[in-house]
Amino acid sequence: MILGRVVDATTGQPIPEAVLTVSTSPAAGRGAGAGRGATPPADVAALLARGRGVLPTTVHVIAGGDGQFVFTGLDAGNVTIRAQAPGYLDGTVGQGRPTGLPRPVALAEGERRGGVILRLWPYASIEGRIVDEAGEPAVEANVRAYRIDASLTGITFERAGTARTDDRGMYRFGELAPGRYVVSVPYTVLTLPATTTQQLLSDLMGSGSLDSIREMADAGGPPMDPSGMRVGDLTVSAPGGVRLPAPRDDGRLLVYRPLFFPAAASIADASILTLAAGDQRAGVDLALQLVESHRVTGVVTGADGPVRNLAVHLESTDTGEADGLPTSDAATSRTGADGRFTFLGVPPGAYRLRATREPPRALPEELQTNPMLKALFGARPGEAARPPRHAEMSLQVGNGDVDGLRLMLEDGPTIGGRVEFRGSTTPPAAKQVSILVAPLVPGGGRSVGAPVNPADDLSFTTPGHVPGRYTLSVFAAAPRWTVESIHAGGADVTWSPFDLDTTPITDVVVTMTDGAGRVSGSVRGADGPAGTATVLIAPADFASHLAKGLHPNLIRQRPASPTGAYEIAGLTPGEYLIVAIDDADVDTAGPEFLRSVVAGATRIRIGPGEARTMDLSLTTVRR
Amino acid sequence: MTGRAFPTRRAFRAAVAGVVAAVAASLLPPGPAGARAQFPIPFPTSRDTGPARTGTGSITGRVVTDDASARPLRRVVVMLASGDLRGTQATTTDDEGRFGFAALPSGNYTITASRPGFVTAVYGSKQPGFGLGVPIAVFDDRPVTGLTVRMLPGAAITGVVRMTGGTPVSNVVVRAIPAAGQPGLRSSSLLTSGAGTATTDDRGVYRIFGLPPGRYVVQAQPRPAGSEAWRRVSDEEIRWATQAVSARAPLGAPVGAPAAAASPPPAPGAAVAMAPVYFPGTPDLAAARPIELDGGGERAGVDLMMMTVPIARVSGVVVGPDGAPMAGAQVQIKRLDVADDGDLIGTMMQMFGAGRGLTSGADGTFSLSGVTPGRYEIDVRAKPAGAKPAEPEGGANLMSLVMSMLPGGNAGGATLWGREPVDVAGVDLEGIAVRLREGLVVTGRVVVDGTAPPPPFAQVQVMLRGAASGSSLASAAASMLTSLTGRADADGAFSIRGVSPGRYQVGVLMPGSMFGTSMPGATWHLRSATIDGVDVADRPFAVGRDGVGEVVVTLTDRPTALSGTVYDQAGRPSSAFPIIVFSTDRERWTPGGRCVQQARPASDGTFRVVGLPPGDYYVSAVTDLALEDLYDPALLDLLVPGAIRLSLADGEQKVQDLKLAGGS
Repeated sequence: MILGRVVDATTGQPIPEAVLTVSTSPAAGRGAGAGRGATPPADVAALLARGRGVLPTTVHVIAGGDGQFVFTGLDAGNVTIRAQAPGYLDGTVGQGRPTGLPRPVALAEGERRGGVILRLWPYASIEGRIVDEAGEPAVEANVRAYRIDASLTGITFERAGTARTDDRGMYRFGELAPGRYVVSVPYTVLTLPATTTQQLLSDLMGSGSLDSIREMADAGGPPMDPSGMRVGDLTVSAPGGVRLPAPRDDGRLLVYRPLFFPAAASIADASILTLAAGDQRAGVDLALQLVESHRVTGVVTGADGPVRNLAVHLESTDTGEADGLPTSDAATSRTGADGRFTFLGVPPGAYRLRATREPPRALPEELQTNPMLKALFGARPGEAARPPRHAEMSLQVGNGDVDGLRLMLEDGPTIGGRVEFRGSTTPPAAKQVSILVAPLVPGGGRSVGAPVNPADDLSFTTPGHVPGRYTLSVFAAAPRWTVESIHAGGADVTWSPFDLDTTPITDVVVTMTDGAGRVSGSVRGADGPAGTATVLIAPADFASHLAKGLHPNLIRQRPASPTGAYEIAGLTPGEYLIVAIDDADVDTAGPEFLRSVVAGATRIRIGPGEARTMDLSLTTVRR
Repeated sequence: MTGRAFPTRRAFRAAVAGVVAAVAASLLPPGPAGARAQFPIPFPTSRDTGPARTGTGSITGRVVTDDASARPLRRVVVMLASGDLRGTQATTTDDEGRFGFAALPSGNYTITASRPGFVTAVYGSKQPGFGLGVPIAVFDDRPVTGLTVRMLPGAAITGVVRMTGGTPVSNVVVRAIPAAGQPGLRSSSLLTSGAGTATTDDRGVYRIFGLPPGRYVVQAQPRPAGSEAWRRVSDEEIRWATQAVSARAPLGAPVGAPAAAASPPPAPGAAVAMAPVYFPGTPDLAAARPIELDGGGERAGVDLMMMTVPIARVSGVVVGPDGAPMAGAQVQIKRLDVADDGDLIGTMMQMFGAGRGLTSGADGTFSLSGVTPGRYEIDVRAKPAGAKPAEPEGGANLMSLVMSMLPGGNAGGATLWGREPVDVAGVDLEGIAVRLREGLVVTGRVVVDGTAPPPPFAQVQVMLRGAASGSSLASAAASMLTSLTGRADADGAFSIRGVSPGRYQVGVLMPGSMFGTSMPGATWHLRSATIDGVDVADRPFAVGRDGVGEVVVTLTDRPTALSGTVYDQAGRPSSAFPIIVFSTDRERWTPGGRCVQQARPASDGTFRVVGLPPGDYYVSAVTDLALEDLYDPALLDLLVPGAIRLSLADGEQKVQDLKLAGGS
């Protein structure tokens, strides 16, 4: 049994009528499994239950008016209690900060635990009003909030939300975590060939063929925009943005330029709004500005000639990409039957022109039994594993139109090599090894491809990638085996990202070892076991890897159990730095933070197959 | 093993929405463009796919506010649509509210003006936001100038949604549903994606804006019931727990050891679900108090309190025809007593319990929890043991694929069916046995009657579509979800398997024809579907336990056509009023059917209706009309006394002029 109370973390006052969900995982003496999102989402749970003839219902408990709650009939184990209340960030018992790691309640058999406090942090909010250049409210305009994320490698801007203005031009981001934010009104101009509605419908409904639908699915939408403004044989519109004005009498189109609060053209000049939990920031108003624009035209060709019906993107590179702003389209277009494209409404600036023909996405297995989805989205014969075809170029738009650009699609380079096993035990089968190539994009964006399994001779080649910066991760479905090193192009990429240009990489060597070690122990603070500790471990030379960008496996982070115990397994033999800090200190982790952590770290050596015990003292982080 | 199970509720919902959109599209008669302005996928009225023509006609005009000031409106998107859709294009008004279209081929055009926050206006429509517009006739070298389109500012409804304890609730969808008895208003918003809805923010505040004048019922729709339920902590529980915690364990026992003795905990309260609630605070649509809105303005303080209803678990077993428990059957729970508030997607979501379906377990059992009170039917479909999964066949088009994933259909070889009605009232129901039976086989043949090259039979699918339970488009669309199909072989023979007893209508799916309603310009049209000479295409018929006779589906390349000119009292051609053609046989007034059709005369007064089945009809002009009302028997009955009666023979091309009587 657990008796507790939901309170506001900033005031300590009870929060009435919070909605609580409880789950128990068997106690295993370690905190490793209790990471964020340890409980499968409801949909997945429902899916898992389907084959058993059961469609379950999650029963939430509504706390009383004084914030109090009781759970009875609980099994012994680590009990996670999650709470939701309007106006508050979702919270989990034991959290030490707004987005901190959960600390389950370790409940003994038959134990009756009282006084459990579940703290929730109030959302911060930003609201304001958007007006157009005439001072009229901008209705149904998209407004975006970026959260500043000081990652280990520098500052990036994460999309924290999109709001839409109402009939008064008002918008509100009501559910923001505490942090630093930038508010922007993005603007993307869409230019499409003026294909008639009639022709499209005829393709869709009449011809009895699915090809046009598949083509649309590939290209990401119908190749037309019936509400777009007609300009010659094109239509132009601003989806999700304030409507474009009619062209001027000289035919020139004026467009809104992307704007950052208060009135900046790039994120570098934007005002940063620092919000503590519960802060309500009003009056974040923006006045949109019209600018003159130009036309950009060209043609996309591939190995077989002009490429039709392909989305073409013009990404702004001078509004903040270098400062860590996620890339977004200033203009989007699509090639016509002759491979030609036109962007209307491009303001002066620096851009990257990009076009990618992605390979057909693999349909998740559970969806493959659906004949409709299979017919529409399943791989076509002979197309199963073709590479993405890609082309990009930089360009500058000044005071005139830019015409005659040529984009030549090329097969994305593949990454290939072999896997080697080093050890005395039986290595895993080739199909148990998964090689994952993930793009490293600031602020996220491009998706991770499907993992590749090596062939029986342990060689592998990926289907191909769009040029860019990538990381390689390798996993084996065998408990003892882990990565010792990964080399590619003469460099050690075990912990570092690498750049992929248009040339394939063929010399990857993945060395796996059965000598994975582990380290475990307990963390103590000044007052005894540190149940709120987080243990960080990284290769001792991690700073040199970090200089090239953050590999997702470089720094591992595990919460200690409520009794202060921790365990980290799967460690490649080598030198490490290990440190325990209070979970509340794992805040926005900038480089200075890291230096401070490193100063308190302990150097340990993990030998092949070694299980080390190391007790740690909580390190105070200097911020 | 999971058959056609939907892996997640979201995927199911997306699929249902897709089906709804497709089905709704198919239900829309190819009427004039007034209807089109309200619907994202218009119907082509010609299959000529040649390049867009140009001409020398033009239209210019202004958009102004619909009030005494007639203030020009800038940034209004003005859409121009022509009968054949090739001329569909859009432009934007300038700072003086002016717009223009040039190089138009001669023809009839409709104009629709839209601007966020304003009520979409169809030129010539009698009511803001809906109704049929007046087509504008354009001729070469004769510019149409000086058109004025008036737009009303939309009205807003705003308020707070709270729990019974007063806590605001975020992320609740609040809808403004046009109240009954307002011709047109219902269809105007229900088909427009997202209009009339808003979601509560972190403070529980919602704001719905851009609403046309009218009376609205405001509904708060909680997250779908079923997968989630709520239980309130009681004061007794807290008291008991407080005591139990303070009753210390015996001295010397380890920390956290069980207390020596305590009374057993009080039974927790029953789990409840949130029910849809209507302003001012009722779960009953009929008891809702509508909000009256005129042009523009804001109605604040429309606050709602979420209501809870008890939930129950419904469990049982699926039994095969041989009496053995059946694993892997698709089990759906459908609500039968859904209030038809005219909301297409919402009605269907509720009918299917917002995606409540599962596959029976290895021992044939099923268990659905979180079922809210109401009348339901457990619907089961299964493949006979050993049946192979069906692959989509060649020549499949979009519609046949959509049909193939309907939850109640026979696709994939699911020919076994079972149905069990259940009344749920907050108490768990156990041990419900759903007995599966082998479905009936309805056989028939497709014959062609005409001189044009016949269509390849492989592209023809004959469909049994469930008869609509009501007269609304929503009910027709819902019934369509249980459609069964069979594909014709090279000789035109077809069989439809897995048919359960019930009321149906026969339709055809083939290029150029959907469910029997022809796409204009198609060569082949459904002329009739009969069993023993009795029409089964346009009037519902019953399939009993013993099945039915052979279905004969006849296709023709000579459809009927009814055309004419509408004249006003002074004898001038008039485009002021739409006309409606409807069968004299009430049984044929089926929503989405072929026997009730509307047409809007062009500005020269001419109209034309193609593809009516042979038979007797009434023709009448009406003041204004919207799709949702088209099949309303009460409305049609009212029109009968003043209507002209005529007969259409097979393939007949009839001309019937209309003269408007006095009155308006």
